[in-house]
Amino acid sequence: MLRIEHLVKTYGGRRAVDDLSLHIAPGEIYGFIGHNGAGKTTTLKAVCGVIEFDGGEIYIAGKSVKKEPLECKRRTAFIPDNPDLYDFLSGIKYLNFIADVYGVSAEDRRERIRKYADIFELSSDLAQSISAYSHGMKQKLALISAFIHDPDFLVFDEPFVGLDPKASRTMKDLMREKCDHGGAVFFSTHILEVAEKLCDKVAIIKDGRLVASGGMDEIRGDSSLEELFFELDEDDEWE
Amino acid sequence: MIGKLFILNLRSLAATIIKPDRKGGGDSTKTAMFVLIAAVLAGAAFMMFSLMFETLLEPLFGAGIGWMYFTLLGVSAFAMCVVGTVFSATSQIFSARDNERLLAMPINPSAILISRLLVIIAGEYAFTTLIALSAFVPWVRGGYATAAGMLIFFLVNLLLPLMALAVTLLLAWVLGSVTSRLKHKNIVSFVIGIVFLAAYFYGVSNLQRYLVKLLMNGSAIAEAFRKSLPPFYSFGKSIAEASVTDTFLFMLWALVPFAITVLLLRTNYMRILMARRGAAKTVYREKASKERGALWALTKKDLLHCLNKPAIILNASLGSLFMLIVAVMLVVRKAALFSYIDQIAPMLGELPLVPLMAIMLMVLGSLNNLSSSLISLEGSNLWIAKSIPAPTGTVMLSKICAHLAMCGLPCLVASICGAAVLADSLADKAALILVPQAWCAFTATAGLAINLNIPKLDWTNEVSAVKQGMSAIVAMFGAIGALAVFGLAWVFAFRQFLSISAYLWCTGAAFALGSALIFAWLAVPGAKKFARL
Repeated sequence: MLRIEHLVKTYGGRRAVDDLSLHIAPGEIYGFIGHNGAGKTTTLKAVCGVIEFDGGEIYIAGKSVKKEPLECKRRTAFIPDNPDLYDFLSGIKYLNFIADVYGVSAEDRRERIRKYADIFELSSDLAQSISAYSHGMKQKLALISAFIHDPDFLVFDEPFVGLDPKASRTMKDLMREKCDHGGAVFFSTHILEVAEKLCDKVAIIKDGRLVASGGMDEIRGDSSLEELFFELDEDDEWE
Repeated sequence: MIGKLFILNLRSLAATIIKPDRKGGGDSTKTAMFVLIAAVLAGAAFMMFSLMFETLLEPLFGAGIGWMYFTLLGVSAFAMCVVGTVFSATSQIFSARDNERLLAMPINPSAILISRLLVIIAGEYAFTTLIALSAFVPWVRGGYATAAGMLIFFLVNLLLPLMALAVTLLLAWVLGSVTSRLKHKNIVSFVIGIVFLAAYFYGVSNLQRYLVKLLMNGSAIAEAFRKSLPPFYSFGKSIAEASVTDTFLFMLWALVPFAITVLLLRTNYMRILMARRGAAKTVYREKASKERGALWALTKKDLLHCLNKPAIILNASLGSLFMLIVAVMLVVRKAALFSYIDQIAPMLGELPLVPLMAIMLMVLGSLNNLSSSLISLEGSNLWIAKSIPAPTGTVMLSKICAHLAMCGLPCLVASICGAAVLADSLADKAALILVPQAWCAFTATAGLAINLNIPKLDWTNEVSAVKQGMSAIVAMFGAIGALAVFGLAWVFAFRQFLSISAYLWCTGAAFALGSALIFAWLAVPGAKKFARL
């Protein structure tokens, strides 16, 4: 579903992402872990075409993000870490805006809005202005908008921040459901327990470079993901 | 702490105008440009008020009602202070976005309040200084000033903004309280804004008439002022007659309301900030929705943005409002309009009505700089425009469409009314419709190109991106400058061998060609620039 080859992104001479390669197959939930400023958000934004990158290639379902950005974006849904939405719109107007942009038919959008708004318990608030939403409600609306065009590939930056426990659980179920139907999920998180329980594969990034990646069991061995994360951190400090 | 907060507020205000560079410093070119524009505006206002006071000086002092001269100064400065700062006071004092963040810190709420008040009062002192200076110079030059009078002049002008602040705060509180409780607060804010604006333009356009009336019935009007506006009577009399009693009286008029307002505000500030205000919740009921394309969705989104924030319309589509007024006038007050045209016919000289109308619409169109803020208005939502599967060219086109819907349609309505009422031949009708539309297209594309080159995405209050953003300022002055160049080119070069009607067609063609070229730039190199934002 996703193939990143030797990705390089620099900001003013500093390499935020340095020669990063990664492969996500259909059906996989892939966790992305790292310190603040390690390069997670930059990588996710490059994958979704929100920022340009300086080197390497990114392919989504075999299509190049550089050469066929629109085709890649049609298959993808992206939610950033802080879902700033158009707060001058109501929730329903925002969802209709996204549905129009992605070309979702009137029938499909009605069905999906009903389904996901009910799942995230946001139905009664859809007529409200987004400016009146709490952080959690905005996050829920952003997640509904991510599912509205039925994408194959979900890219989320810290998707569980601001969600209540029930919505978090729902979110995990939806991620799994998407993968069971041949899709894939790539998300960053600081909550290692969530990554450990939810992800099929995980990648750890430090200072823009991938320091470990692979299947969850294969990568952590007998220890926990948390132990592995700190071990890698210490190893690097000794170097 | 108050000083630090005050500087923070000033920095925030400056950052809305001049985007700091990556190292945190300001761009010196942009700063210089802003200072230049601010100086031009202040200079124009100074000239306007100086002219007014020059006209009034001799007749009023000659009639023995010199105090009226300063009373008018007081009223003008007071009105300017209140109208100029009431909206800032509402947003700064009662609904600032960082109130909760600051209240969570170990800062005395009084310090937060005073630091915000200082910003408002700094603005009021700026307005007062401008008007006071424009009255001071003719007064001194006319030989009416005395040493004691000058001393009192400075003292009462120092106190005047305090009196204005009390009224500003009261109005801001009422405005904030009323609008926050209303369901359609945007419409109410819009209407209030229009009323303020209409009152201002009514006053300015009738200034000459008022001056004539004042000069003809000076004593009667002065008597009315003395009876109905005692603070301003004391203000005027204290300077003109160097009266200690009136100075003392004015001090009371200024200081007592100021002290009471600040005390009340200081005591209740926490309660005001903590009060939960809001309109009733709207319950969602499912409705059938139609499938539209990306261009429609993006254009509608930008239009809803403007319509939901009246301040955007008032600042970036002001010309459209005037165009609609012109259209109504053309239809409803046709007889009065022709009578007025007959009166000014000698002034128009060789200028026929159709080109004159087209020029007027283009001048009004230069006040419409909406497209020069539409990229800045994306702000932190820019990720949406960049992550959706719509070509960047479509995003650019949607912004031009939004500009044309907000600014081109009112122009078209006014043009059609003008063509029906003023134009006889088909060519004239076509010119009156097409040339202003070409100008609209030019301002839409040029404004967007300017905004793409000078975006301001890190605003905290979106109105500041429209009102004070560098691209908006450059676009408006650029449009006025472009019109001036075309006007001067006709007067000094083309007048000899081209009629004004033919020249109008040529300018229309130039604007159409210009907008096509700029759009070509926006669609390809501009799209790449947008991707790098």
